[in-house]
Amino acid sequence: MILTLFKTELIKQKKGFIWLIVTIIPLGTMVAMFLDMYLRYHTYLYGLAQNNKVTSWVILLKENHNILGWGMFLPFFVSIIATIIYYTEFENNSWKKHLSLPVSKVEIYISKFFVILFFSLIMIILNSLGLLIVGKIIGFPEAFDYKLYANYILFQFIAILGVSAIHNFLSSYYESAITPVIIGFISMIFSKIVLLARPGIAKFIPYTYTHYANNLNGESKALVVYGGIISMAILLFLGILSFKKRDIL
Amino acid sequence: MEKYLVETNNLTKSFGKFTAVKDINLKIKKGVIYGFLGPNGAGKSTTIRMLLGLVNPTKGKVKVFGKSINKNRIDILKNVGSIVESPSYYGNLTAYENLYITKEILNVKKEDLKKALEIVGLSEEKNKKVKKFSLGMKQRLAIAQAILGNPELLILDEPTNGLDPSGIREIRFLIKNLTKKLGMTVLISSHILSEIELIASEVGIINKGKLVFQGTIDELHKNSVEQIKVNVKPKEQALKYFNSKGYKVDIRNEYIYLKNCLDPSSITRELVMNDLDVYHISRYKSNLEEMFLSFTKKEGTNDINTF
Repeated sequence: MILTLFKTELIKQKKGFIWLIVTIIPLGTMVAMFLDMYLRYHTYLYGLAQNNKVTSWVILLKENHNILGWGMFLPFFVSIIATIIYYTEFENNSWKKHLSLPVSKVEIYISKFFVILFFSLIMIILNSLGLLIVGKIIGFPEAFDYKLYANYILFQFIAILGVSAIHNFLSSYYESAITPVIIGFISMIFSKIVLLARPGIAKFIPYTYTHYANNLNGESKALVVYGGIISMAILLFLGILSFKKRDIL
Repeated sequence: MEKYLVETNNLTKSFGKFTAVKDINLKIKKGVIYGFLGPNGAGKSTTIRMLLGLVNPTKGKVKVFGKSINKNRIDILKNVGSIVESPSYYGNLTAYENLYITKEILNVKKEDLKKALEIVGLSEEKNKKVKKFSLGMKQRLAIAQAILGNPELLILDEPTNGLDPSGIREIRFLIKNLTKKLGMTVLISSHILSEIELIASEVGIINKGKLVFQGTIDELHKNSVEQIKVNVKPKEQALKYFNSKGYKVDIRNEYIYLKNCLDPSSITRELVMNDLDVYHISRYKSNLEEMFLSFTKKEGTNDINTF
């Protein structure tokens, strides 16, 4: 049934605003990264890559993740995706109809979670695809590092699991679309501050895991994997408990 | 076999200190159109939501098809079609796509979808986006969603809300046909008695969260008490006299209605003997609308008139 619900969720988003969001954000990052590379690659960044003995593709990834702030903003983008998915139900009072059908609340809640992950993954993939296009247009001398970018996509995906679970709950809870987005934005800023001031504490905040997703080795890798999966498991479970008990008014 | 298709036992729902529904015992037989009447805010929608498992009761039980909704929600809902308050739809999708979502979840055939569209007369408009539909068309689409898969029980919460008279007639005709052609049991809620009177065979009247009447329309008629309608002056003096005699009075416009007095001639004589001028006196039996109003005017009543 979860697969059926997942399919119906995709139908609901057909020609919807969410497609614009998941394409326009990576398009924006691609344009920003193109400008960055166009202005700084030949004069500074290529030299930086050679000095650090890394490829231009690594520099491009780090520019995207750290300088542009993709790693910081990603949880906020996930919060927007989650809000749109749930707003579809709130907008036309569809919750009552949806939950009057013979499906379990748990399955509905989980299927929504999967849809959030699905659209977030599309956005993450499109971001990396945008980087590939930028590198090709600028004319990086090295061959495209498929493994690096595949890992980048994978670890970003794992890093957003906990945040997706949080916003699956928040977006289902607040009828107002703006509230979970504001919470997402404040949490993004707050987590960045904690990350800089108290890195030890930041490890327990799911909003920070995407920051680590560009460094695919060692401790950060473990933090993304364990943090993402464990926070998802706990927060999804708590969300299910709350959603099961909730009255649909 | 269970006597009732829907049965509630002391169903109660409180939101903090406010009790929206109190000790309701609904009893709906198979094959009937049950009109669930009550003014706005009486507790109809909350009751319906408890029947569908959308809202958890604070106290009491809900049984549908003889099974507890609490334990068999999914099993029960496989045979229940519903509209809760306003029609629910996805505006960016066509009528067909909206129904397709329901079809997928109910796991019914495409033919059933086409049949539902035909029944509600939306076959021609199936590829039109629902946000471009009129309210009447949206209501018909909601009914199509509700009847998809031919459920045994149809629960329609205010399905004619916001419709113009022709739209109301159209929906009424549709619902009547559904019970005739498909043999469905229908629970339909409304705050308009005349609407229910034309469609339902049994009614339940709810006021301030309490069920104040339950029975057939004929039984509701029988509940009408004969009264004496008097226009007498001076009015204040007449009221004093009626009170001293222990008559139950009700004042509406210039008339006084006497409830526990059935002899106009003796009343006329008594009034004249007391120097009161009688301008009008007649026997009077309240119509359904007035009875509904009198039921819903009573505050804090504990009496449930069940037949």
